[in-house]
Amino acid sequence: MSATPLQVFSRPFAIEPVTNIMMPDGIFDNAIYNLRIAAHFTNTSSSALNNVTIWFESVGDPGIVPVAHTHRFATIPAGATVLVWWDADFQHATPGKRLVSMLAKADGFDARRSIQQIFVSQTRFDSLTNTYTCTVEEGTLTVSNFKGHLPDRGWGTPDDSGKECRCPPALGPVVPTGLTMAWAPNPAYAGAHGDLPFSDPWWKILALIIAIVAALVAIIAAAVGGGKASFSVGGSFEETDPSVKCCSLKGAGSGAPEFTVAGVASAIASGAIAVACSDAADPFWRGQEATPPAAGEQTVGEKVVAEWKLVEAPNAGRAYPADISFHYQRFTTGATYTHAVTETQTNIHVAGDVEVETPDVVHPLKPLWVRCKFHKADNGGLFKGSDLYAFALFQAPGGLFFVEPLTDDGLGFDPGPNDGVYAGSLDLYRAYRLLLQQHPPQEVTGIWRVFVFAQDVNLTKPGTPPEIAAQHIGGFFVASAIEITFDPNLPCPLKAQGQILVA
Amino acid sequence: MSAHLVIHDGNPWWASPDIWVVPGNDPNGAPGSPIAGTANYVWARATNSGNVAVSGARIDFYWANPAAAVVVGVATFIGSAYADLAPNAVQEVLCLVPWNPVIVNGGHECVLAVIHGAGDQNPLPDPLPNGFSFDPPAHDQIAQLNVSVLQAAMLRMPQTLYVHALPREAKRARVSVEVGGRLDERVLSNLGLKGLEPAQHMCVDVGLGRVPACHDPDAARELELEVPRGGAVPVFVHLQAERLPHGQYQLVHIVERQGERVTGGVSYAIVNTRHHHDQAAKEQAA
Repeated sequence: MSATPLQVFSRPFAIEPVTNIMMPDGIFDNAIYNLRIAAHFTNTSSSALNNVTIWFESVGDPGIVPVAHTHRFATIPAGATVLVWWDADFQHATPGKRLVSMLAKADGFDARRSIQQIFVSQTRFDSLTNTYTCTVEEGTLTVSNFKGHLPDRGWGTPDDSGKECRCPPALGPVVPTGLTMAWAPNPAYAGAHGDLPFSDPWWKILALIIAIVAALVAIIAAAVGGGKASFSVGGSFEETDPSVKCCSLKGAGSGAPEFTVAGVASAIASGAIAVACSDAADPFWRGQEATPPAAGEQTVGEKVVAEWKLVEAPNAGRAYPADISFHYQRFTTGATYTHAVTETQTNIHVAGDVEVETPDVVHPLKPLWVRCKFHKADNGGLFKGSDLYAFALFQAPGGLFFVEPLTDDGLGFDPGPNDGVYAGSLDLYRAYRLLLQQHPPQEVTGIWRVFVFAQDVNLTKPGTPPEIAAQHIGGFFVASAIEITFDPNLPCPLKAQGQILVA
Repeated sequence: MSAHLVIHDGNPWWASPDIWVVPGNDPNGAPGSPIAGTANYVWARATNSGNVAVSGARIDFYWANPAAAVVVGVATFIGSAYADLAPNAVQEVLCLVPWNPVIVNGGHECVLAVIHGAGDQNPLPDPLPNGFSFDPPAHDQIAQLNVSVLQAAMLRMPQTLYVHALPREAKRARVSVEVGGRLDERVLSNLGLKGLEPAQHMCVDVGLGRVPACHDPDAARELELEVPRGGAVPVFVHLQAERLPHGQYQLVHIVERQGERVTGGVSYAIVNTRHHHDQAAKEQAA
């Protein structure tokens, strides 16, 4: 028999399970112990595959402990891409690039093995110096002097409009506006450019990881208690005006969606680092380019001090600008070199409108469903298939939330694979049992609200030259039901994108 | 109704055809002998001969210094892999944790594979307790590959193996030499020796000694050993194979017995392939 025509073509990515968000560029960080290893499997044949099983085989680090689980699909349409994931413990993971293997088997075929790399970093916080470090095989980035717009004092309390608009206390997003990054290469190097982290993303991605990990560990500690991350309280920020206003979803019985909202908001806010520091070439690369060391010198350290101003709040899929000034220093065995830049950068992870379709009325024991179209910017068509990692929050009439994936795989309520329609559904029978377990029990009947979110996926092919691969970063939110704002006079920006009457 | 998880033993049982090593950085590369100082990937072939499917069966891989019988605590854990096994299914399983054999033994190590799965008819303790004897013939779920490939022209230094005793039990063991026989074709292929034929005559001189000398005049074909509890005694295997024809191999088994019971063994496949390598190099150069 031939091998099952079901393969993984892009790097598996990390999902943080408390918030449900993808980590920056899909990179795993061992500061967060429990992470999901997610992968897109594509049916490369022209026929549907039947009775498909997909399982995780192995990972190239004994410090990473996956939970064995088999995903089963009655059928996978021709050309369809399905999303699967496995929980794993990364507490004892070693930073670096690690291989993972996954197998897929369909009726009439032998099992096929897909081997891909994942990236693992290690973030730590030093409370004495108020600094963070992010270590990878190629070196360590130390971040200090974080500056940012902090959450408004009203965060976590209902606003005056009486809309019960609230966010989890102390878990509001911080929008960074400056930081100091010091890179210690491992080992010291000769020539203009050192090794990129994982030979892939720019050095700035490590600063983004730090910012998001710092936010996530606090969220995880609030959600599930201590012991699930290497630290639970991060460092302090130097505050810049104005404060960040945001609205979260109304408190949920399970609590978890609050943390999804907090995670999404933090990820969007932290994205300002990546935007200000440019995807085309980050301050380290540009500083290196401008300061070639003399022959025989070795670079032992580099430092970037950056500050930027945001005239508008960062938001998913918007081309918001950042006016940045950065000062780069290269420390070699013979001299110190400097380079300074002042410019305006703009978010290039932009997207167009989101179309959301839901049924008007659903019977109490039938599934709820949602279909979405995520438009690219400038009439560039639709995101499709494995372009996005997307999910929906279904909010029950009593406030409880349920998170469900949105996929463009032609399964369930999705009309066809790769047509740009992402669909997801909620089994109301299962939801009903959870609603009844609440105190007091919640009703299944009434108006359900739907919120959708989407992050882009890094689809760079393995083997792409590092300086090219570095320009492609995944994990940016291109669609979000949450908006953050610096304007305290704006109304609650959170709006349900769909409503369903269950009756 | 139960599952029956098996990793097959070989003949001798420590020459399992269901374990192999891929040297180098490509885990999908050709199997062969492990190379010291570089990455190697270990594979196993797992079988479910029962009538119940097993999801998420875990295969643990270990390596150990050459020893006749190996116990948990002496062997070093490499990593794990998982497999789904339907009734009567056979699945090749790859462990992606790179194994770097220690250079001191030139890569001549023993590899073990152990499978655990829910619903197995005679499950092993999970995890295996310290001091647990792997004893592959006693457990369908455990197999061992303890076959080293040695070039006939490079046998000046003796090979070293260890005879271990359990933590709280001294033992008396007899170690002896057996020469000749044929390797399973699958094992031959797994060791990168496909196409080689077994020597027709005795071409290898073998002696066992207690000292690591290049030439031990007291080397014998059999040794009686007293091993203190929790301890290990080294045995040095002196080999000479100048008469081995090109393109052939000769098997040398070092067998450990307690009484009449075989408790373990190490095999050496002495090969003479240098002629072929030299010829291939010349043809490539031409």
